[in-house]
Amino acid sequence: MQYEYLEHTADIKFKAYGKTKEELIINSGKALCNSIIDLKEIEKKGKGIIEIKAESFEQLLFKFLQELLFEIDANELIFSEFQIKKLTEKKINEKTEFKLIVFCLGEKINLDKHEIKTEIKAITKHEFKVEKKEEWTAEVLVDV
Amino acid sequence: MNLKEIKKGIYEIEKQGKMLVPARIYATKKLLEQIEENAIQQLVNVAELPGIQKYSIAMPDCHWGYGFPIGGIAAFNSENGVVSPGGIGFDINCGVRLIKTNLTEKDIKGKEQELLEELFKQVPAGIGSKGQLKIDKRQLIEVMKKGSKWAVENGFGWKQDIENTEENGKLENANPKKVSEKAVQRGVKQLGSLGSGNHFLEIQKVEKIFDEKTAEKFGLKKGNLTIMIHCGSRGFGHQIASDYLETMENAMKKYSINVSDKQLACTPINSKEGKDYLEAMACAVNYAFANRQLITHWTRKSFEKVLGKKAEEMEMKLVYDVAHNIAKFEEHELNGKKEKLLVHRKGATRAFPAGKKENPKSYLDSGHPAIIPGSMGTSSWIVIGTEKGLQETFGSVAHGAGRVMSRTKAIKTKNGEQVKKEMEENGRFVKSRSPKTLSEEMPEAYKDIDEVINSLEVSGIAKKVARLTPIGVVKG
Repeated sequence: MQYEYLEHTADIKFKAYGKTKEELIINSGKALCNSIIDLKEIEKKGKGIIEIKAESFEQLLFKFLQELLFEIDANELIFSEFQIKKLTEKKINEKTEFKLIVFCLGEKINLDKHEIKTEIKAITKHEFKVEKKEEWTAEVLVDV
Repeated sequence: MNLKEIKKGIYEIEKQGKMLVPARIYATKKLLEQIEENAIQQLVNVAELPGIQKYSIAMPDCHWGYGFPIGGIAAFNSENGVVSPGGIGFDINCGVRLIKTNLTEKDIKGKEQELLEELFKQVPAGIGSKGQLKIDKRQLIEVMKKGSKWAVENGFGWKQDIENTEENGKLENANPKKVSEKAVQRGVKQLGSLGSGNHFLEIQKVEKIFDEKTAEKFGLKKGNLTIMIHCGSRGFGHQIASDYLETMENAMKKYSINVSDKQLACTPINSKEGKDYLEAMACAVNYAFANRQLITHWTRKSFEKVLGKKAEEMEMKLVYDVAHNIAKFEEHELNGKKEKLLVHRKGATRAFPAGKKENPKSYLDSGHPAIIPGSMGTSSWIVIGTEKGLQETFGSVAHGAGRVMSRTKAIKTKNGEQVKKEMEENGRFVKSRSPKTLSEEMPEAYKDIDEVINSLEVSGIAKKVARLTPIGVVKG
């Protein structure tokens, strides 16, 4: 499974899965986009680039989703596929620095063909959880 | 958690552990049972925040939120208290306004759907819509500073609209320099749009009057049509909230604030971060007032077009506009002394009774209307605050019905087409961007609004003025 939507009284909560960190990032991105517009309706006409730096992987994923939401909300873009171009983890004087570059494939939102299921106000840290057991999982609650 | 009913409709959790004040829930037993354990835990967590006064308060429509419960009120000492973006919510100045008319149902008979179509066309829903309004960054700065006044000065509305808006549609301390470039980019595109989720524009009928004298004062007459607009500060406010949650999370250590839940990110009101947030928040508050003002204008235009009469002739006056996600400095009496407090209302509506100087001129001797929307297809209410409410809840009441069913479950229960059909069978018209929204927002997904209002009256913090019933709903 790539992702699923969990029960939540007021907002939308999803759980994304991945065998690797890369896969987890991709599937989290898909879960977010699919809550707004069905991925099946999205054509891969163009490419956006998201670059993130963070001190932990958890924070990296959170910031990636925030940045993705910004692209959707401010630039009216929507994506159905993601390619990880770079994901590195470096130790610099006690501190770890994660770097991420993602290519996002999709198109401009067009109401003639896209049905907006909902708009998302924000990615929240409410019940935000990133874990590695047998595989990587991320639980994310978005405010709608 | 030990909840004790101390008076009819008022439950209290006494001060314990790290709590600085007791916690209180205003609800009937029936609604109390519907409040999640998690929301009650959050209410208790809020009671630990530095400088909190009197009680950590929950309304009958309370549910689990981000850090603070939704449907909560917390007031902080303005000298040594804190400010927390989580106590206001992501949708800064989400709120409701009510427009009255002298029309009755028969004036729009047969034209209901046409009216909804026109409203849907004139009022952009949100993302992807071709908005009516094109503004640049310079104009957005004016919106941040002037709020409703900007809209009226630019031809979107009447002068009287400003007087009948909370704070005259503008908080004074707005400082656009404290707003991020990201918020600006989201804000430029979305001014003058409704948004999705539980936001709506509704044509209603005054179904029942409970307080003739006050209703008359508000211009509400049984059988007349009203229009209710529920929306907020769109992506602009959401971005400001997200930005400052991060800022405050990082800054908290510096001020040695230790809280049970890291979502209660906060800093002292008088810290740099606290002041910056309040100045940025004020920009979002003003943006939301302007947003609802623009939608008011297009609503009048839609009615004019479909019914062929001038808005003035239809007496489409603004009854009031009130926020339910906001923090404001207010003077309240504490232990017999007047004190300046920062009152956080998250999913709670201000309801000041007669005599408070913040009331608009026309409502000084009645108190201002507190507007409480129901869920889609159910009643909405106009109530007024009481002196008891002013003493106990800092002059605040509930903000709506509050969800009880998840969106995923709602979709499984009934599809959008079914919901639409059922509403139409009940004589209610509906127009929405997506059938999915209708399913998610179906009345069964929410608490009973009439019970919420009963809770307010039983506990003595509000009095019923009028019940409004929907005729047609536009959903974003």
